[in-house]
Formats: sequence, structure tokens, C-alpha cells
Amino acid sequence: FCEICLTNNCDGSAGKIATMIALVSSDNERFEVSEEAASQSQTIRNMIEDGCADGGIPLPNVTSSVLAKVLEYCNKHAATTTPDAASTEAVIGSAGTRAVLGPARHGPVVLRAVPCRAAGRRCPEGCRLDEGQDAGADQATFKIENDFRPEDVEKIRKENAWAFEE
Amino acid sequence: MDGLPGELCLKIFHLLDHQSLASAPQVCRKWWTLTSDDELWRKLFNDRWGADAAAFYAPEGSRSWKDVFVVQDRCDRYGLGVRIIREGSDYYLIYQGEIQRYLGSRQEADGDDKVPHQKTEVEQRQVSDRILFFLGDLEAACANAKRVKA
Repeated sequence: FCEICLTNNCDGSAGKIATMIALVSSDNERFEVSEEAASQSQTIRNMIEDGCADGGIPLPNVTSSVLAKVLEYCNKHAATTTPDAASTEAVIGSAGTRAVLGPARHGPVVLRAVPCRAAGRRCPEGCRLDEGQDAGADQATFKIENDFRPEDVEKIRKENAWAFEE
Repeated sequence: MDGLPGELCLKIFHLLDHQSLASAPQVCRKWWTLTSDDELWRKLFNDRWGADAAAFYAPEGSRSWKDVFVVQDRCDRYGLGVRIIREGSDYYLIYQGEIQRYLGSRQEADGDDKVPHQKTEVEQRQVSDRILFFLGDLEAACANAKRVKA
């Protein structure tokens, strides 16, 4: 297993000429990736260009297992991404987690890593933001302040309960 | 994500299924506004039931595409006839997917230590009382619905 290109079939070329960037997951695991691969995220590319990348780029909302999968995606597409690529991909991690990726032209934006239910669960309409009406988790993950009163939240929750009956 | 401009948020919301879009509105006002975007729900309706259905059921007046989607989703689940359904902890009388009457709420099964036992009993009785007397209301509710449809 090659730590640099994160694959089992490394041909040794990834580490030779690439500048390496360190990404640090929420559980403090460091991932060394080529600058080219990491730069697929516009946010990370900006940080690199602004010189903020020394010492590693922290990603406090991404665990190491999810980050490993996202980086696999980045490395796979580093050479082939065109500016017009508008594909999105839901990556299913080995531990049953899933990272939802935003439109490729803005770079992979990890919206949320959620534990999937049973492995056989279909996702008929593509991406899922979360598994239920767990607004609190979204607020914590994205650090959004809820400007609704608790009674308003309750009212909205009731209005949208229709979507969660089997 | 709080700093993301609205159009970017909206682009991301366009990738989500209807359940995600139903749990997102309560997060904050910005998300509440964005998730009720008419085009979002028109596209979901079109993808799920097709262009012909979308043309037939297109919303009129103050109704939104989300309203239309919700009704159609209920019809898929419950059929077109009169039904008593539960959504969350609330009971409703519905007809052709539209809510005709709110019947009551139920307490959570686990109960809350802070809630006195008496209150739970009273509320449960209210729900069953209302269901018992719905037979008379049923006819009135259907009559109203048929008048609106006609």
C-alpha cells in the first residue's frame, strides 16, 4: 500500500515530481497527497496559493476513513478532470460511511459523511444529506447558527413529517 | 457552508432527494427559504412522475410545486380515498392526498418523566374521541373536498 498515492498498485510516479500537501482529518490523521490532487478542491487550492498550507490543512469535519475515500477519488481524477466536468459522485466508504461530493467544477466539497444503514439500502435519487430530521447535526457540522425559535423549528418539522413515513 | 453564496447552496440542494430537502428547512432561515425553491420541487416532481403528470398537476394560485409534490407523494403511499394517517406524531384525515382535518397528536411511546401521567391519558383519550366521532365529520370533510375539486 502506497501512502502517497493511496493505492495498492503504485507505480512510484506520484511521489517523484509532485509537491506534497498534508491534509489533517478530524481525528488528527495526516494524509500526504500530491498538490495536484488536493488542488481539485478550489478551497484547498486557494489556501496553497496563499501560502497557508504549511503544516498541513485541517479538515475538522472529515474523519480519516472518509478522507481516505475522498482522496482516492481525487487521485483518480487528478489527471483527467476537465473544467467542465460536472459529475458528482457519492462515495461509499468501507466502514459504511458515505461522503457526498458537490459539483466537480467547484472541487469536491465534502457535504457530509453519514453512516449508511444496511449495505443493501438503495439510494434511488442519488445523494442524501442526512438520514432523517437531524437538523442539529447539520448545524454542528457546518457551524450554522439556527435563527429559528424552537417552536418554529417544531412547526417546520411537523410540516415536513410527510417525507418520513414509510 | 454558512459563507457559501445562495446560488451555490441551491446547486447543492438540486442534488438531493426529497427526504433530505424535507429535513433541511429547519436548520436555519436561509436553508428554509432555499429548500422551498419552486424549481427544486418542480424538477423532483418531473423526475419522479414524468412530464405528463407535471403538466397535469402543475400548481395554480398560491400553491407551490412542493405542495403538489407532498400531495402526490401521499397519494402514492395511501391511495386516493379517505384515510386516517399519521405523520410524525400527528394524526390527519386525508382525501386524495390532501389534509382535510387535523385529528390530534400522540405522546411519544417512551414518555417523558417530566410529563405527568394524567396528561398523557387525557391526550390519548382526545385522539381516540376524535377518531370515534370522525364518522360524522367524514362526510362533511369529503363534501368540502369534492366542492373544492369541482
